[in-house]
Amino acid sequence: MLRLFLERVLFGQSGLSTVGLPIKVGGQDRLLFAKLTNLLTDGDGHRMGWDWKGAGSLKPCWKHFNVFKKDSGLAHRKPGYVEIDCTDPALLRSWSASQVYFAADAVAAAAGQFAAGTMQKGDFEDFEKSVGINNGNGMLMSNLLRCCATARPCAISLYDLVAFPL
Amino acid sequence: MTGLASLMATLRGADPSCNQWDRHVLGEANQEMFHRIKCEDAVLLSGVPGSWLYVDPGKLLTILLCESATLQGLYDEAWARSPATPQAPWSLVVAYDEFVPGNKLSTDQTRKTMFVSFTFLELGAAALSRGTVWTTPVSVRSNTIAKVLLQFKCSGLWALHWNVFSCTGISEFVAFVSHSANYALQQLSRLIIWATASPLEFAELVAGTLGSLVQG
Repeated sequence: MLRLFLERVLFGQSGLSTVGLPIKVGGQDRLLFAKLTNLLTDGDGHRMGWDWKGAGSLKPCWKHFNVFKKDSGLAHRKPGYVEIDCTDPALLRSWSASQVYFAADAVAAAAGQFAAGTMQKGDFEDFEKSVGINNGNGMLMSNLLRCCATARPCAISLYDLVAFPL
Repeated sequence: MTGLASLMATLRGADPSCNQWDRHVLGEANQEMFHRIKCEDAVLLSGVPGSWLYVDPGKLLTILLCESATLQGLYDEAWARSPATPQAPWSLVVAYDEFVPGNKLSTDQTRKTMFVSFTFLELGAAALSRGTVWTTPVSVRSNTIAKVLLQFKCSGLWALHWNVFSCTGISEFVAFVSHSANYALQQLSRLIIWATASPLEFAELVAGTLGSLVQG
């Protein structure tokens, strides 16, 4: 639903990113243009909006792909990975927009394989779990939002201080 | 409830000629306004085709600007500082969260409600701390959200291809089409490999190697 809302605001009949929203400013009719730069919510909001598996999942940080759940027993196996209690921001590696979109597409393709019977349910669920993204129709799957140059999912997603792990 | 009573008292005081303001009249006025500026999106509610009605965000902002001199003043000041143009658009901030109305000590989760508000960074930090500048076109029960599945669904591969196509010039499209079938097959074969790999290897493959392939 957030996807529908954002598509309407940015690309609808009076889309802020396309034709502009007619408003009266300073007594004159103007067209207001805007781009999406910030999405403010808590972790659960980002989970719902982006089809992210959430803070309780194997990938508990939406912004950094190399962060694993605490005591998951994976991070120590290869260099470059940390657990959620890591306190050194220099060790965290952010998703780029193309990486997130590619991962979401891969999950959707895997869902297609699962639906077609060419992938086992357990494999599909493991795949979703390891990527940290659910198959869905949220904002990640919106072609309109992908075309918006500023729609970098992890960069525009802001948490409140209480909900942000670091 | 105290807030609503206070609002109605204010309305009665501001318009002594009309003493008919009560919850019913206020509700009807809200409904009338809602139907004037509502918009509709197709969704599936528990698998059944339905529609989601909410306030058109653009129309709501236009009406608020017409009816609030304070808000109009804030937009005037911001526009004078930095006019919004296609070349220099304003920065849209969208906030959304859930709350449970009613008694804090005895919450009723079936009343849990999601709201979506938006504003613009250019209005300035001081203005953003005021409720006036936050436009709230969406307020929907969380149990409704849980039932919603979007009516349209596109495959991940199609989405990927569309994404590439939409960023590709017409002259390049022919080459893209001939390339796409092989690309899809490659991707699917990789998926089978991922499906037998460990979670750590999945993460690395998806986030690192394949991400750089897309960028390349």
